[in-house]
Amino acid sequence: MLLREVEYARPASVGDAVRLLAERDGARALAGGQTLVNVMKARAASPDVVVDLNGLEELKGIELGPDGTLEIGAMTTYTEIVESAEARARPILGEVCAQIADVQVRNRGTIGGNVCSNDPTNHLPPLVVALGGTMTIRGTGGERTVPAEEFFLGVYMTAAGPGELLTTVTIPAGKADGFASLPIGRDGTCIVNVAASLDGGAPRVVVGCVDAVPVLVRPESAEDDAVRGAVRAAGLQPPDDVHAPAEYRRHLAEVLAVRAVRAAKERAS
Amino acid sequence: MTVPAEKLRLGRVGESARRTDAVPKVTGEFAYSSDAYAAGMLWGRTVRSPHAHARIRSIDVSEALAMPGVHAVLTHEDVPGEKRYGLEFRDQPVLAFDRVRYFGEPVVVVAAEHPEQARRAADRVRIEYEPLEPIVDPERATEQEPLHPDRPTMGHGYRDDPRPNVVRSLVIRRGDPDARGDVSVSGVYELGIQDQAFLGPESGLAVPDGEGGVDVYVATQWLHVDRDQVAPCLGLRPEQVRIHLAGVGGAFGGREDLSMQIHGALLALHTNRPVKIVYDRQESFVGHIHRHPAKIWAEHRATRDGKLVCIRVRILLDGGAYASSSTAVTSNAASFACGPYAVENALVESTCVYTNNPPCGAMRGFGAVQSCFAHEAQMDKLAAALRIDPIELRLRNALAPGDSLPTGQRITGTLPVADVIRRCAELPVPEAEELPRDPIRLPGGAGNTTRGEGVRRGVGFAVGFKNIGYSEGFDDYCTARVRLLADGSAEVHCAAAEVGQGVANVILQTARTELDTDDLVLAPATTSSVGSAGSASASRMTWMAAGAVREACRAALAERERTGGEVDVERVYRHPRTTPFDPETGQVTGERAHVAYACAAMRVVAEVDVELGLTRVVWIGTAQDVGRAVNPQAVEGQIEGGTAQGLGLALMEEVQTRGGLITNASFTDYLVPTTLDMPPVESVLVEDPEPDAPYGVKGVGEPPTVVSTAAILSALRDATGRELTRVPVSFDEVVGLD
Repeated sequence: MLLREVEYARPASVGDAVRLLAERDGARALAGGQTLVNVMKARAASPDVVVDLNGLEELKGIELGPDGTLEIGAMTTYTEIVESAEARARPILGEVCAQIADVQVRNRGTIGGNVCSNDPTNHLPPLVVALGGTMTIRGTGGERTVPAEEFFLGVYMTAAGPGELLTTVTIPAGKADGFASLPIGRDGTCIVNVAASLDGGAPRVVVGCVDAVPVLVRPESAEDDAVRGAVRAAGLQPPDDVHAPAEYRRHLAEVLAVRAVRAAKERAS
Repeated sequence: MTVPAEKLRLGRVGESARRTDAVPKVTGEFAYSSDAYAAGMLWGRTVRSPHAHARIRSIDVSEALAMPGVHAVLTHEDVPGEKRYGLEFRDQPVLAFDRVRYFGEPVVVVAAEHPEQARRAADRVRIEYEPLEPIVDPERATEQEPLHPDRPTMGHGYRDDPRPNVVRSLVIRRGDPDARGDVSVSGVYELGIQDQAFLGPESGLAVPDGEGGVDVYVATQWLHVDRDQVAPCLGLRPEQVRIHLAGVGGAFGGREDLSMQIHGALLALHTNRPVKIVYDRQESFVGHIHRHPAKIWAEHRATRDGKLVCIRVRILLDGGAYASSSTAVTSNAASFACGPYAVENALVESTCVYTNNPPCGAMRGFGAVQSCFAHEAQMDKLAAALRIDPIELRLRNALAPGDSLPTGQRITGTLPVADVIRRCAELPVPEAEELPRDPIRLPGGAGNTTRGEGVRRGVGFAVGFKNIGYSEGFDDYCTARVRLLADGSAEVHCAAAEVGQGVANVILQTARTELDTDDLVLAPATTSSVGSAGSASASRMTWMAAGAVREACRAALAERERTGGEVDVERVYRHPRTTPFDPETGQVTGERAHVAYACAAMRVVAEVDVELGLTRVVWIGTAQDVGRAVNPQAVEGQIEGGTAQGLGLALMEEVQTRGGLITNASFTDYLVPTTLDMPPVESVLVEDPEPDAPYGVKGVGEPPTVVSTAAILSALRDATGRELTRVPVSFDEVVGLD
């Protein structure tokens, strides 16, 4: 396999990384490489410059604040989240990361890469929206924060625009969460996934894989019928492809939403 | 520091000796065909049709030829000999001319210094196509324009079907096909296209010999028939083409047809350089034939006490664009359509058609898989209609030696159908596991989709059978050559393809037994030092190789006894002769159309999340008629692997098409079972020696695949109460959204 020539940069600081990304239109950040490298191998896209973030220690690690808030560096791997004592403050994080693909992928893939690539079948976009996360984005002009539900803009598009870098994912305290997904193959890609959280009043139910961005649904209560009805009322238009027809995916969204909320209720009690 | 290699436990016939290729395959040291290398070699690349059906208006290679590193860009005009090849009929162009008939059909081949240069040059080949309406509905194919107007299928002794696009049709009539019973059950069953999905994609190396001939190192199933197809297309004599077996990364029927052999040889002879071709996964999906998709209409009539009176079956197979081995698949599907049951009256019609869908041919089970899925669904349905236990119903109708099949063939060898049913039914079914449990042990696996909600358990049962060896009058033989050397050692030559099934051990264990020594080696399989072994297919290779090697060993010992010196003898072994079916009645014209049969019974426990349609096969127990096991551990391996392939067809494996174009040519979108999908398999080897076979052996690779798809669906029906008439079963069908 011989790919088009690409430049490679390994910045020593987040500032340098942001500068490199801002300077060149064709620059792309390389986190765990579980999406970008595959896209390059398939020749679907070819950046001019690969900006490798793997040397940036400041983007790695998980901090647990006194109020239970988790600050997760964007370059933290799934395995690090699974194994982190701090991340257990919000147990759903490690549980969902443990479901992603296989050991090799979990050792390389990062939370930042997962949300920034925003492949609609990814696990973490619906989860961070359900948990009410906040995304910290650094650009050459400084830093800003965006609520997770405003972060995802379209397929492969997020609020972290050209020349910007997601640095931290902030997850507030809580525990009454659930997640249910249907992977194709016993450890494969999801065709529908649902994250639910009951912390902070009315349920937050977020359906993934059914649209370009995670779909946030706010049922009136956590009762099965209310959840099912709210998902139905959302009028989802999921894709129809080799894995399943759209009608089945709509059915799945309802059943998985009920199950995710039930799991969240069990954890709350 | 070096560590002395552990001495292999060298086994004789009947022992679970360690396989010669086991350790290198596990450690990654085994050389597969894609590892082949020659100094100065070029890389070949195939330009393929993006259309399922189109006329070729023009081909312009000039731009590609001018690209850096490119040594050759060849079209059909550069094929010096026969322009077409084929296993049975020469209907498939080496490189397409005039028109393309399937998505991915080879049109041009390129050779360059580097694979990337070859890829880029391939992109610059300009082919102007005029798209034509593809024939994609097999039920309408016989009313549409012929894809092969010159009718290559006519005049070969089969029934002359006047309809266009019929590859073969066969009707079997027995007794009174209108005979009525007390009850009747009917059903329509469908199977999608299954891919062999071998992990080692097609690959090989062609090396010119400097004298106009060529050596081809390739992963294949039958070296000599490759040679006999390659040589005429190159305009060479057979001995100028030597086929050498390179490491095979799985075959399952998918390497019976040629892939890169002629293309590589053409490029090598044209450039006078070695040429290597390796397909990638996507290309592999169009690089070989698949299992025939089928639609089967079946009606079973029986007495009130469950005795079959009459079976009527119509089978439609989609052969795709070229015939490959479709003729034999057609007759196999018909031969086994009624299952391993005694029935006096039957009408079976089996038809295979040409379409512009992916070409289909040999795959493990070879027509019997499709039939078994239908006849076992029917037997369960009949049992339900009669309120008879499904296992009891099968026992009441089980075929036995001495019985006649609907083709009129009397079973002269062993066929312990009732015995495999009983032995399988005796295996204790495990208790349901307690909840809560690890999600990986629930339907949906790692997705954590259920903690027990919606999960129901079902138990299913199926029986199936299939022929061993080539049929219908084919001159089926295997050659072996044995050299006894002065130092007391021996060298065995046999061109049987080790495709992962373990035939190398069959040969070695046979030779050690016959020569009563461990001091012997198996020479590499090649056409240059020994005659044909026939194909590593039809569950025939164990029987045939054991027969040939045994005869050659015994002849070598006799020769040495006579001469006292070194000896070198070659012997040809043939199984009992078969004869064709009568083309009009489907009845045997001699004693037998099939040499012998093997059967298997399987019981399956499955759990289904009925709200989501997800499944988990929990446990499989099976009893298989193996004649006699040469290597019991290897037989169990074949049973487990064959079962996994049937599980794939039952639950997930399907090559999907739209307008003849494959839409899921990757392992992301075409799923194969993994260890997480496979349950433990408890196997009972039923040893009832076959009288016509050396040591009483039977082939064992196919029966588990024949029966497992049917048995799994039986369990899913039990869990869901739904008919589930199509495989692979889809989530939404299990839920019942249709």
